[in-house]
Amino acid sequence: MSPLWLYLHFPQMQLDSLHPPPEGPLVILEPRKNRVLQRNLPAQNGGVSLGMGLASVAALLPQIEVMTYQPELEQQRLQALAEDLYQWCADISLDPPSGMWLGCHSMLRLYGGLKAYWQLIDAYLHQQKVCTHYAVAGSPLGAKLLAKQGAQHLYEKTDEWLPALKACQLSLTELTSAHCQQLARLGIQTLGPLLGLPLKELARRFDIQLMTYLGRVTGQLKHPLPWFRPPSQFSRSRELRYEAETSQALLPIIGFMLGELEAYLRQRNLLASGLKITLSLRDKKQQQLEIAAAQGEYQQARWLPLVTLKLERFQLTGPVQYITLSSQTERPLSPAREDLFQPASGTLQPAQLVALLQAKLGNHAVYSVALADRHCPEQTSVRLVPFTLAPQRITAQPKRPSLLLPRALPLSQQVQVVSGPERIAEPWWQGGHTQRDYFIARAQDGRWLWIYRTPDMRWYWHGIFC
Amino acid sequence: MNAIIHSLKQRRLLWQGRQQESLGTLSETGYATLDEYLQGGFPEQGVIQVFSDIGVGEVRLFCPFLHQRYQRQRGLLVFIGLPYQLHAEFWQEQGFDLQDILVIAPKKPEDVAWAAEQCLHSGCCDMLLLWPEKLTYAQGRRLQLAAVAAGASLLMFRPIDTYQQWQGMPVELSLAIRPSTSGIELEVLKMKGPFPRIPHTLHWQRQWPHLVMPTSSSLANDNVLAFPRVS
Repeated sequence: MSPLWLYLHFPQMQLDSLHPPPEGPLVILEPRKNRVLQRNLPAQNGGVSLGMGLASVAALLPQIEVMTYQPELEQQRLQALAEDLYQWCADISLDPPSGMWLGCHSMLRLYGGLKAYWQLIDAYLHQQKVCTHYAVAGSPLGAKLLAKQGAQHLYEKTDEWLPALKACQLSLTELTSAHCQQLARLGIQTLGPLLGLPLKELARRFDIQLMTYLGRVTGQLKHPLPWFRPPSQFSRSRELRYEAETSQALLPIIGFMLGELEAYLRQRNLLASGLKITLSLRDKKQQQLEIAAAQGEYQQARWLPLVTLKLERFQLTGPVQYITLSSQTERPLSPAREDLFQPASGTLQPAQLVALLQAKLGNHAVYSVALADRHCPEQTSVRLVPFTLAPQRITAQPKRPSLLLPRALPLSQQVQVVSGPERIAEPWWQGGHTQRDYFIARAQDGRWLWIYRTPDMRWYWHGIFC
Repeated sequence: MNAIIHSLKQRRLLWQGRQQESLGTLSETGYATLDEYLQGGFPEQGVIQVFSDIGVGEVRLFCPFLHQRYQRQRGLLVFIGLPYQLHAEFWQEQGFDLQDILVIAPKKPEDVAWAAEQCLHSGCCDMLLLWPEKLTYAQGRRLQLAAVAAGASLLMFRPIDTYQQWQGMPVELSLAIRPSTSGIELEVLKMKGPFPRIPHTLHWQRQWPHLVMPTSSSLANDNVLAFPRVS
């Protein structure tokens, strides 16, 4: 099968990536050259055209919003689009900052023709609301040139795309400006007359680069492309249209990004058990926010309350400009078994509840307890991260209090000893020197205490039988 | 009818003796005499408020009740706002699997009510033991509704000297517990329907033999000999 390449060119990707989309006029300006690269419809209606300087733009529309062009943002968005398109197309090659090739020849049998294949991709791009220029041709560079020309056409056969290619302007090709100037002096403005020249003559007058380009654009020479491999973890960034000073102002955009995360995880049948949100601040070091959900979640509706709780306690040190959201540990989704006949009245699994509580109260405020194989009473009961406990059979001693004091206090009240002593000593071979005689005692006010006596006859209060 | 009485009835703070309200299901307490005294046992779901000093046996009283629930439901046992540290040995000894115990220690006292409500709404916590420092009437009411909706039992422990202040709390059962040499002395402060007015002394030699004062007869039989000090 002859190769066919679909090139997608996104002429205003940074503009299309703004969330929420601006209502008033907005331009994206390249600050170095001081020219407008992208403008939205209100700006266009106001008379702003591409390539204008900031002064003319401001003269036309004084209230216009201006953002600087950031190719890295476009590249990140391109990466995100490619990740999504990967489910329909196996061969993707990125052309940063704002284009990509899809190798469609290998996919046509699966989708039953170019038209059906394009419909899928077109529907996705529509849903993403990105302005796209596209073209299909037999060579990668040819497709790119046609797309940049604004062809918006699927040329399936060589006799269709080659004539269209010949009509393309030389200024849009990847030839150097010196070459273009040289050719313009010869009266060659489009690709057609250039391809009409005999190769021998061309080779005498021009260098090898022009020859290779011509060979590649017509598909006579191969143009090798690096293949896109989807990353193994979710990580996306967004730029804020306005600097956010309060953490509450971040919620809408984080909610939107969590929606993207949900789509990503659902496609792969994965759960994320942690999120990392990196906030890039103006003039300050970036801040990080980690949210854990031990049981793993993918739904936006589950993540958003956790993020909201975390943000409530979070102190921003400066205004936020960018947000990066990345997932921490991903694992396959395997739903917890639920009882079919006794539907639970609540909606949460224990691990989900713990994640919710930890998000608001802090990680150390929620714990479970376990027994350790030790003699010393304060060491037998240990704190654990909830639901990490491996079942371990340690026999509990009888006659133990239900609550222990964080530290034993000197006994300062009159008590009546009811039972005891029970001697507890740390093994000398482990370097322990503790030796205590424990008694159960009743205080004057009727409280039941667990007290001990040290070898030097000091009395301490250690636990309480409540 | 008097407007004040009417409004009190509306808020369910007052009801008439002849009014046969559905009392809800009751569950055995694990102590035969106490079942008789409470006319059936502890309420199966909802809030039980306990006024006592810490350490007189206020939690121990509920151990058979909690264990029986645990055997049936295998739900989580949650402690919120404990005054001291939980000692795992006791709870394992009582037959609870430590994996089903969760301790929540909020730093701010106002988070206690929030955490309790989340636990109740989650549907996976069956028994909640709560030591609230402060709780408004509205929060108490929310907790009661959540506990009843979840079919869970919420035990609320408060200092005994505050019971005048917290009488109005919406609860299923309100108890005052005072120490007694052979167990505890129980007084019902509030209960749905008619309830006994005289305090009841619960003897628990059988259940907690090591936590009762030895009687004088057992002291007399004590075979400890006093050795005279050698001068």
